[in-house]
Amino acid sequence: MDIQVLSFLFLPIFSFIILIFGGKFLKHKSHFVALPLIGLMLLNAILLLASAINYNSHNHFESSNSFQWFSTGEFSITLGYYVDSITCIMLVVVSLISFLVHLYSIEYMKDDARYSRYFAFLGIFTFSMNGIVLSDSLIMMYVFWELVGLSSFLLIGFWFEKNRPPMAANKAFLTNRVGDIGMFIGIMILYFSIGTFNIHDLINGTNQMSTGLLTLAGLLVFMGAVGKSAQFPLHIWLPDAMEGPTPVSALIHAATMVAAGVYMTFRIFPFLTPDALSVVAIIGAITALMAAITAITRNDIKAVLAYSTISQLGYMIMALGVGAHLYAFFHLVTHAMFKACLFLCSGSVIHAMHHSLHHLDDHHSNPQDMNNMGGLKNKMPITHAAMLISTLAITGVPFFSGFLSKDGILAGVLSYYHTFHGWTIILPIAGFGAAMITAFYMFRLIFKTFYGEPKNKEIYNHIHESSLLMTIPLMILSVLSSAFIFTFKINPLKSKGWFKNLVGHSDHNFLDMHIVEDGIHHAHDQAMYLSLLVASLGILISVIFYLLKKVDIDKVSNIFNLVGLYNLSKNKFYIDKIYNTVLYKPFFSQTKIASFIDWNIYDQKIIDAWGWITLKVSYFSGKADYSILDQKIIDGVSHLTNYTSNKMKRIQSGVIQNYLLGGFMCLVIIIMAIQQFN
Amino acid sequence: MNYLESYLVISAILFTFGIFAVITRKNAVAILMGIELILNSANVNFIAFNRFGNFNVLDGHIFSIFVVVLAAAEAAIALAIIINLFKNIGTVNVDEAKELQG
Repeated sequence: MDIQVLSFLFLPIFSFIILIFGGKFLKHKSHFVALPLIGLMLLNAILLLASAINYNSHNHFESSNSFQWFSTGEFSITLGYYVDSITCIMLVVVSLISFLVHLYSIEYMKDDARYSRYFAFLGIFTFSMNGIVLSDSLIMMYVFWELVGLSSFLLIGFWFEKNRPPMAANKAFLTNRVGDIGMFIGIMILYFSIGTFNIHDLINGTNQMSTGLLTLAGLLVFMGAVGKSAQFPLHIWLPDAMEGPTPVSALIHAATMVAAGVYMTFRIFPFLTPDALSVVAIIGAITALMAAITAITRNDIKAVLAYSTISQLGYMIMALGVGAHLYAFFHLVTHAMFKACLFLCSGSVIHAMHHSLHHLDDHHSNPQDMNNMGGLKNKMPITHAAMLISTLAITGVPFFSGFLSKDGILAGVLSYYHTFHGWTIILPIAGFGAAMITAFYMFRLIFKTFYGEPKNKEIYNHIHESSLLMTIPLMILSVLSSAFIFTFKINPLKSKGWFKNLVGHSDHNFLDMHIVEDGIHHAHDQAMYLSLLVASLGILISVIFYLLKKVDIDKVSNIFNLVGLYNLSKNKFYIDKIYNTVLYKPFFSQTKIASFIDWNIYDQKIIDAWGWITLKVSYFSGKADYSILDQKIIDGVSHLTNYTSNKMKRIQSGVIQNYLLGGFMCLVIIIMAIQQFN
Repeated sequence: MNYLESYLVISAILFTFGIFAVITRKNAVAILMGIELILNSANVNFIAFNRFGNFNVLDGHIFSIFVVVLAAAEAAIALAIIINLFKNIGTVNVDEAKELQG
């Protein structure tokens, strides 16, 4: 068991080590190292999941092991893994998408000069992501949490010779730091109150803490998830992160790393207090709705998907907040499949656009701008089909996986409202509203990209379907976006199946999960009909607007603009601008003052004055040293020695008889002296 | 002449002549003769002390004989050195033998 679990860490880190040191020799053969290793890992993950499924029928599948990392005094840190059915599913998701992205990147990145480095970075990302999934303690999770942050930084800034990627990488890293600091403080509060980092011991030990402190600690740890899972107000880095290569966006910024925040919150869910959970729910709701509204007006194909990712992550977080955490996890898995598929499809489109533009020698048009696309359906049938399937999945159409998980979340939200009433009405409004908007903007993306007349005939003529290496991952992921895969039941409206059995049931320290689950169960039908309604409404509006073009879009946007809604969406809710005025500008003026104090006052005046004083002192000290000590005393001694020895050397005549005479006279003197003293 | 002092005085005179010869003479043979005088003054002392010192043994005599033997050997070696010196530099003046002086 140990070996099987540790291989999830060793295989990808081997890939990283081999490629980072041997990349110089492997060059464009690097995937021959990376792909088998990740493939082996995928096989391993599937075997582990299979054993979990078989095991689960009798009992709860669980395995853990740990060892002490180091200890100082009473403070000790242990590293260890904890594997249950949730871990197995996550491992399969990470390994599968990592493998498919590796496969896809062979074609997508084939002309890149830093080919081997790219695969090496994918390796270290997979390693760190598996680390998060496997870790049994918050501190170990935090270590890998930072490592995925690092790999995300490296991959966003992969094309560092361009202008924007390094900035985006910095933004992602720094924004994540904000959340991570909160998370670290939270972990430390929990450690010093309960005395352990181990998640299970924490869950069992929360009764030692006051509820207020526990709420605070839970929210602080959740802050890490806010950063990593791009929740409001720290979501600003994710759209910028699209500067990285598209397969990276699929792997890291859609399927796995951004889901790490959800996964972590899922793990600490049992000890989050109801107060903390309502904050979690509100943040999720705000994120889901706001990102969905922002996505409407994006023209960059990847930006739409980025905001859609933020919105879907908001769903998961909201689901955790209302207690539908199993559906949050379900949505995490289904979302990983269809969103990875969407991103890889967009990558395929961008790749084709890029080649077409390259062929036309056009370096000004943006290959990601949907205004340059249109009508690609006939040129790229496989990509179109895969993207349509995954769009149906994200929209929540029956027969597709998104329907099952989204339904569960919406049922959870609705049941939460049924229980608490009052302000909680905003949660279902955000949930269903975002569902409608999601349907609208996703089909907008499809229609603008694949349907209608080509905007630019020349570009259109040079578009070709991508090669099999790129389309096979698309096919696999679109198959995995169907509902059947997750249930193995014919009825497309019921989510009961192997997946739900495997995830099972879990307890909460403060809530009675049976009541919550009953509530979700009761609200399920209502939620399903409502969500079907809003989804079809969204699709319908999209069809009218973008496929049939019955309505003038400018007029509609003008109407919306009467209440400022269009501009709000166009300017991404002014959040970057608000940060600019509220945070960056005051900060920069502060730093200007600080730099003035540091340079003009401290450095120029105090430090330089010290330099002047030192110079003077050393001048005098040098003078004293040379003129007095050196010239007078040292030279004086040598002059004296010289003079004396000049005088004394006459005695040394070389005539033996003189010496003899001297010796004899001395003898006489000594004898006389002895005589005298006796 | 039955007093110790008279012997010691003679010995001292001999010793002084010997030292004087060693210090003042330039001729190597003369220096050798001076050394012989010093040795013999010591011999006189040995005999005199043995005679007046109420010793029953003949230690002084034996020492004197040793000294005489040694002086003979020394004279032989010294004369050989002087002959060689003369052969090499053509003189027996010790001041001229400076070749090894630094």
